[in-house]
Amino acid sequence: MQTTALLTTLLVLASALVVSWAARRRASTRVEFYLAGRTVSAFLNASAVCGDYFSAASFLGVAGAVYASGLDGVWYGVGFAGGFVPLLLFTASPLRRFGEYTLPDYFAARFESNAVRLVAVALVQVIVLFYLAPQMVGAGTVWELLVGQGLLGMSPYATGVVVTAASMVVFSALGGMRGMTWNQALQFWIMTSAMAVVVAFAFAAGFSYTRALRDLSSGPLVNPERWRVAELLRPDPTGVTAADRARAVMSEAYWERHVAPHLDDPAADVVVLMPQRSRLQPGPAVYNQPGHLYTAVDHASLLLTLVLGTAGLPHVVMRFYTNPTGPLARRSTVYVVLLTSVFYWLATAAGIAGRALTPRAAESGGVALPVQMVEGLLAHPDQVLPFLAQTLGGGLLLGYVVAGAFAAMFSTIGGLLLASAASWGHDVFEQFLRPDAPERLRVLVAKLALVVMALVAMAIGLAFPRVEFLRAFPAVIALMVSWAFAISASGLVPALIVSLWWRGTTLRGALAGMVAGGGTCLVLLGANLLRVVEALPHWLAGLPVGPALPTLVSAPIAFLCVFLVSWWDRRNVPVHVDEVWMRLHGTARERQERLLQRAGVGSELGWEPL
Amino acid sequence: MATSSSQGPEGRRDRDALAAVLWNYAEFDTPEEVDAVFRAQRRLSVGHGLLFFVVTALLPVLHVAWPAWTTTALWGGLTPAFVAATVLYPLFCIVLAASYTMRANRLDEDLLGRARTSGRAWELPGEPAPGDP
Repeated sequence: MQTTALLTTLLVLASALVVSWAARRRASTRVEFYLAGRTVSAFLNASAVCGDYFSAASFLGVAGAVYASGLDGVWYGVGFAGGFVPLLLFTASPLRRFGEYTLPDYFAARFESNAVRLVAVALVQVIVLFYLAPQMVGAGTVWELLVGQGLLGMSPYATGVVVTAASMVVFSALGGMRGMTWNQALQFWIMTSAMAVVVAFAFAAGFSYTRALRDLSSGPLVNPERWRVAELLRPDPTGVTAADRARAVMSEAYWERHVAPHLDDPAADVVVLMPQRSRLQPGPAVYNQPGHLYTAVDHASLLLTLVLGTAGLPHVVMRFYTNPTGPLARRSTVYVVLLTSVFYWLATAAGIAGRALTPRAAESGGVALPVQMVEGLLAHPDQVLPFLAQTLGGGLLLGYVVAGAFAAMFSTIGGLLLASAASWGHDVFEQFLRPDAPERLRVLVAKLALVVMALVAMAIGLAFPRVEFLRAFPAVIALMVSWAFAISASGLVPALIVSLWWRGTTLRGALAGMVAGGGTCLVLLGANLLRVVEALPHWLAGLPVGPALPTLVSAPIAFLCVFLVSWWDRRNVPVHVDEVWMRLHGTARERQERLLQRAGVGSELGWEPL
Repeated sequence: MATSSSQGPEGRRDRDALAAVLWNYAEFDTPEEVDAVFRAQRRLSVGHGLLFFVVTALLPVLHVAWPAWTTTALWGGLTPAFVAATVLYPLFCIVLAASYTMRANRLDEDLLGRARTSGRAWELPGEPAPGDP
């Protein structure tokens, strides 16, 4: 058991509890519970947005992707950072000015329709579930790897899932958005400083960014891969087997000791080093060149998914409603672009440092973590950051990284739960079930919705090891965050951007865009899933279901549908569009708010922020 | 100027007076002004957006269209493609975001910002009335 890891995890939990407790009195109204009274400063909000946005996939996964794939791994981080630019250019300020609680709220008010609200709620819930499931699985896996100890008779994995879900219920329900904001900002700085310290330790240990890149790129890229023995020994049409290719890059000693004893059992799994092929050109993949993960089309689709999808992620959009004004929403986004760029540069450096330093660390021994290594390379690239921390800085630095990993998970899961609760509580309960409910009941329902969503998340996390299908194809879980971005980029963002900037957008146009974009995306993702589990029928082979995402097809379809159907339906432009335009693009209301805030008399005049 | 610190009957009187002034005061925009600012903002957003998407789309294109982009060693193992992904593109995003924000906020301030005061003189300590010379 990693005692320091357990202690630092408990420290993060305790700090979050203190913060939520301090914020508890300020979560008694809906505008406080959901949106922190819309009074969060630009820099604090930027830190909280980053905490919300950076999940364990960012904290551990981006360094892991760079470790395994070099330049192609960098693009995930770059896309995540670039995603805030379209959000800034097209949605941050008008959405904040419109002044609702959630994205479905915006659509309902823009088109005066509950149908569009329901479609948006459905898309929001799908996005939240796709985002939440990997976080919960990650919580169990990280606890298993880094803490290694179960509590109350549960396995370490189940303990990680239950502790995370229970903590998030307490923190979110207690502190609401105010507590969540402070927690997410604090947690962002914990994970960023942890990443920075690991990178600093790597430089102190002699790591040179440019020299490491040169050395790692001097030959073909080689990575550990898990193979079924029967597949490993099956010859291709030229008579060469995968085993032949593996032996060409592995030492004879390792092969004889770790692989050869299993070759008699065709159903056994072995981990071997395998030279990687480039998808861009014939020949091997090289570390500092593109082509290991993506073809040019996959690359373009990935970038489009990440840069468009960010603007429709419900937990991120909700954070922008907490800004006091439109200009501050813009300024806060600039800080976010800056902070994400710095964070992903650190993650890239950590990935390269890990690739350069792990063989040396493995040779010198002293690896205390239960990681699997193949000839000096980690079998699971996501483990590179904790591995680097433990080998460079011992238990203390590992503890810091564990704190960063849990901070990343807590802040993202908390934001997702709050966004989901707002959607159920505000968009469904308040609009359809009890429109006349008193404020106290509305806040209570929001908290109940949060508890229910946390239970759903916990159930997903606990079910994962029991589902044979998911155990056999762990890549499905890893892909789910990207799916959330793809659905956002195809289902929500096109209708959102067009309706914010084109008066002529009609209800039918928005609905057509959301259904066609979201539907196409889900169908193509389903086909992608069949491809991952190797069950894609031949007659579907022409569909764009490559390793990246379908956004390159589904987002243009959505944009086209919004424009064409709105043009066809142009006689039905909402009659109140001028009033909507005054709210979206005028500044009178926020000037008035600012004035009343400065005078300190808003509440005495019965004024409540938009 | 905040009245929350004012205690006693005198403080309450000041606060009530200020509340009355603010109650009769209303920031407003005309539909024509909002339309003008909307069109200017849309030009600004679309211009910056086009630049952003062209540069973003250019990166995968360069990977296949210009071999030297991915193979030329600039410093150690750094290639132009690697420098673009890790330094230049993030810098481009930061500069674009900052430039857009400054211009968009200035547009809002220049094109909007008038107040109606129900005929009363505008006076909030330390704050000239918007639109006053």
